[in-house]
Amino acid sequence: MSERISLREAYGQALLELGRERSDFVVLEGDLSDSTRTVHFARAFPERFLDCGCAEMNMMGMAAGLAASGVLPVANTFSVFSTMKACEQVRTFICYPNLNVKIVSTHAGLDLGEAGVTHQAIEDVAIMRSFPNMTVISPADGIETGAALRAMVQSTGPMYMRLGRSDLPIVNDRGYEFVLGKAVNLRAGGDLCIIATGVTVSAALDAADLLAGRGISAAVINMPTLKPIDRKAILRAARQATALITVEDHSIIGGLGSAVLESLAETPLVPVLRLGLPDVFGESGRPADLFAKFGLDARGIARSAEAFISRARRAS
Amino acid sequence: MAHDDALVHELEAKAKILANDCLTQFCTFSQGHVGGTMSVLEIITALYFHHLKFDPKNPDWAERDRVVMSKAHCCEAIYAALTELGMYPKETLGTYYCYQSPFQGHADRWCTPGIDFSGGSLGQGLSFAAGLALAEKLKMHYNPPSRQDTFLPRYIVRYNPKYRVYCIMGDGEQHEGQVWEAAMFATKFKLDNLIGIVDYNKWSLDGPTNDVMPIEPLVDKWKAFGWNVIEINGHDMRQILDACDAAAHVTGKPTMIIAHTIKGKGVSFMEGRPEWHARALSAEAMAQAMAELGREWMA
Repeated sequence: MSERISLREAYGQALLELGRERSDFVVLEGDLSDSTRTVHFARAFPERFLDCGCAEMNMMGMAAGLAASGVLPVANTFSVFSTMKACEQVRTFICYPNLNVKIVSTHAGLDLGEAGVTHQAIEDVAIMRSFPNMTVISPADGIETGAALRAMVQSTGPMYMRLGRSDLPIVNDRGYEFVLGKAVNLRAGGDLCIIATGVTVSAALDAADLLAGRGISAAVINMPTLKPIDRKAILRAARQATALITVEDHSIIGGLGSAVLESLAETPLVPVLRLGLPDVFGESGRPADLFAKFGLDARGIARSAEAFISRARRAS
Repeated sequence: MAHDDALVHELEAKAKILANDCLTQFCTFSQGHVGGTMSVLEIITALYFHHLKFDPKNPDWAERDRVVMSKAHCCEAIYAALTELGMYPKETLGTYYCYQSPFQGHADRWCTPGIDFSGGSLGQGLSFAAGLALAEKLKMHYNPPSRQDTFLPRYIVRYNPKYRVYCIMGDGEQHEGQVWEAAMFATKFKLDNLIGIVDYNKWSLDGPTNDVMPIEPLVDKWKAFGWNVIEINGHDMRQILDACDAAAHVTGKPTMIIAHTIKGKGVSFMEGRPEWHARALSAEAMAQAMAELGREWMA
C-alpha cells in the first residue's frame, strides 16, 4: 500500500477521463470545483460544466429537469449540502420519479477535519439510504472511486457517492473490478469479521494486523455499496465469525452498522458491534486526531474488537 | 399581434366551462383548493386552448411546450383543461382526489399523462422548469443547426426554440428561497425559452400575502434578477394572450408575467376571501356560484 491519493482527486481525474470518452453527460457544480476536483473537467470541457453557484436546492431541482429531458447530470458539492440542504429536492424530485441523476459528494465525515461540524456529514448515508430508488456508494480507495464512477454513469437511476477529503492508501488490488452491490473480501479470518466502508477500510486492515499479534484472527470486508447492501456477504460473514464489527466514518445510527443489522434482523446469528460516531457530533481537528478520539483508527478498532469478542465468547 | 374579439370571447367562455368543472368537483368531494384554482383559470385557458404547442393525442410529444404547475395544489384547473381537450373522459373529473385516480390531490407527472411536473412542495417548480428549458438549449448544442449556433453560457443564442417551458407559481410561493436561486440560474444561462407566471391573488394561508411576509416590490425584484417582466390583469384574456406573445419574442433572458388576480374570482362570496383557499361547497353555495357564472347547477 505505497501510493496515497485522496478519493476526491481520484474522482476528479476519473471524471476528466470519462469526459474525454463520452459527451453525453454534464457536470453540475455548487461553486466548490477546486475542493471537489471537478476543476479538471471544468477546464477541459467548459461547455459541459455548469456552475450553479452556492445554490444547492436549485442545482438538484434543475438536475431533475435535465434528467427528465434525457440529459445526464453529475451533480457535485459537499455531502452536507447535497443530502441536507437539498434533501427534499433529492427525495421528491430525483428519487420519487427515479430520475437518472448522479450525485457525487465530497468532504464526508470526520475525514473532513478542521472545517468542523457544519461541514462534516455524519448523517448523509442514513438520509440517502432512507429514500426509495437511491443507490449509495462509499468507495475505499482511488481505484475503487474511479471504477464506481464508471459504474454509476453506466447504470440508470438516482445514485449518491460519498467521498472524504484526505489522502488514502490503495487497499484494493490493481486488477480489481468494482461490481455495484458487491462486497469485497480483503482479508480472511476465523474469529471475527470487520465490515468497513470508505476511509475506515485501511484502518480496519491495520487493526486486523494488530489483532493477529494478540492471537485474534480477523477477516476484513470492504463494503463499497451501502444500498443495495450485499446481504449474502453479510450472512456468510455472520455464519463464519463469532462476532461482527462494523466501522464507518458516520453516525452509528442509519449507516453501515444499521444496514448490517437490518440484513441480520430476521436471522440473528452473531452479536454486532457498531463503530462510528455514537450519536454525537464531530469537532474541528486533524482527521487522525478525530479518528483516534472516536476509536476509529487502527488501535481503537483493535481495542474495541478485542473487548467485544471477549464478551461474545463469554456469553456464548 | 392583435387577438380578435371572437378568439377572446371564445376563450372567456371556455374559462367559465373550466370554472364549472372545477367547482363541481370541489362540491362533490368536499375538498379542493378553490380560491387559487379560480384565480388561475383564465391563464390556464389561454395556455391550453390557444397559446401552447400541445397535442392532446400525443402528450409526450418531445417538442411540446411544457407547463410546470409549481402551485400544484391548484392542479384541478389543469385536470379540467385536459378533460375539456378530450384527453380524459368527463367521468374522470369525478375521481379527483380518489385512490388510484389519475387526478391526484397534487398534480403528478408520473401518474397523469399531460402533466409535466409532480408538484406540491412550493418553491421547487422554477428549478425543474429551468432544467427542462436548459436541456432544450443543451440539445441544440449537441445538434446545432449551424456552426454559429453553439450553446455556451456566455453567448446569446438566437434561434427559435423547439419548445418553451411555462412555470406557474403562487404569490405566497415567492417567499421560498429556492425561487430566487432558480431566478439567478435562469438569468445566468439566458433561458429565454422559460416563461414564469405569478398568480398574484394577494392571499396566502395565514392572511394577505404582503402581511404574512411582504413580497413587494415584486416587479422590481424580478427585474433586479435580470428577468424581462410583464405586469397584467390576470383575468383579462387579451392581456394574457398579449403577454404570452411578447414573452415568446424575448431573447437572451427569461420572462416573468406578474398576473394580478383575485382569489376565488367569478363567485361573489369567494372573491378575495381567505377561507376559500381550501373549502367544501354546499349544494346551495354551488347553485349560487353556477348562477353567477351563467351556468346551471345540475345537482
